[in-house]
Amino acid sequence: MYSFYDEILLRLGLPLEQTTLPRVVLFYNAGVAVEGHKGLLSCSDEEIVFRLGKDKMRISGKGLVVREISDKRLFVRGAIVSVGAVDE
Amino acid sequence: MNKRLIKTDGKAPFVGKLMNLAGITVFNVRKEEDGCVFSVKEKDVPAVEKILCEKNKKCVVSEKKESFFKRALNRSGLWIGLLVVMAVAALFSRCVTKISVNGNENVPTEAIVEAVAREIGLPVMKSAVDPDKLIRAVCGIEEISDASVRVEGNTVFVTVLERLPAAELPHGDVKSKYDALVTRVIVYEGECLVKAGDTVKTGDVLIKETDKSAKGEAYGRVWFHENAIIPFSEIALVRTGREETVIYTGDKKPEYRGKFDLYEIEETETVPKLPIPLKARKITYFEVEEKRIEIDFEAQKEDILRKKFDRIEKALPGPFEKPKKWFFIKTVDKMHVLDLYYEIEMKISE
Repeated sequence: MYSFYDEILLRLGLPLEQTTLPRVVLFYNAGVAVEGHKGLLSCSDEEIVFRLGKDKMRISGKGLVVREISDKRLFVRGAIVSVGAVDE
Repeated sequence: MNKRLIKTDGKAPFVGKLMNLAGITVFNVRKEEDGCVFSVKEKDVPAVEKILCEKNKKCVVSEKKESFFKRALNRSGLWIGLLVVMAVAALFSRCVTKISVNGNENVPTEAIVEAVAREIGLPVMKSAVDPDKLIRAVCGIEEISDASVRVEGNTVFVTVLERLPAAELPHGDVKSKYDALVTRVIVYEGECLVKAGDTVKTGDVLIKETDKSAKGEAYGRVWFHENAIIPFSEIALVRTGREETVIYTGDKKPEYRGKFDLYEIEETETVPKLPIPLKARKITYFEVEEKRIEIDFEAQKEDILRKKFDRIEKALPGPFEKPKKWFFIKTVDKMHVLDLYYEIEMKISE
């Protein structure tokens, strides 16, 4: 039996072994769940930047709140406008 | 799981990283001007304090937040108030405070409410309400014949039945209003004294009362009669052709001082040919004499018949369908005698 993430990997044509990839799940207009982050870099009401492996990712929106942050997971709630990598 | 709020002067990413490195999950991270505020599980608070102290960061831990129930238990005033409210509600639910009346049209509601209130006095416990006693009190009002009482919630519902006005029953016998030939009789109560084919006169008893008052309807043929006498000749006043004229002004009519013994008058308004505008009245006296003239009966017959039948119809109690009408003409010594009859079937009972 496959999990939700396994099924996504299958549909994307990726091998199931690549489960160590960071995952970013966007709940439209409600929040973002990140698994496998490497630390929070900046935090404000309109922008949250965190490290994802060697890259950085930015979540922008309105009324953003870090609901929970642990060594693996990050949960951000708010009206999300965009989630994307930060050009360096 | 209780959480404690921690305020620190470290920046949110820095604090988050520190806590994550120590394996502590941080909740609700909020950036502030001089640092950040976040929550951690209560068991992690000593570790957080130690980490922040090692990094020379300020650490302010909020007071321990007691659970809602624990806090509520300490509020004796709240509990006493709640108990008082419950006691009042319990007492109120067992009391009657209102009287509702329905079914009355003529008897005023206030009178019924007053009668009920006199018995129980509001407010009163439901157990003290005796419906039979209230019914007796309400039925004590003269115009009420029956009542029912029920208690629902805080209200006593009183439904009343008002006394109906006494029916006006006809008294005595049913008598005939006309001279008639009876065609049918319908008897509701009493003893029938006539049958179809009998002739009755005005005032005759049709249905006699027994132990009950007489009730019923009787129908019969009724004749209405008119007559007229038309002589062969009559004396009429005929103008001779002679006339006299008098003109006068003012309101007072002048007396006749002419030569005619018999005369007819015609009066008109006239304007004399005078230099001043003056209104006057002209009276013309026509001399007449008595003369016997022959009456043309055949020419006048239709007109006389129509007038006489119209007169009968106007005297009838109502319009009737299919009336029968006829007449007889008798010629005697010096006159014609006309007898007109009008026959209808109608209700003859009073």
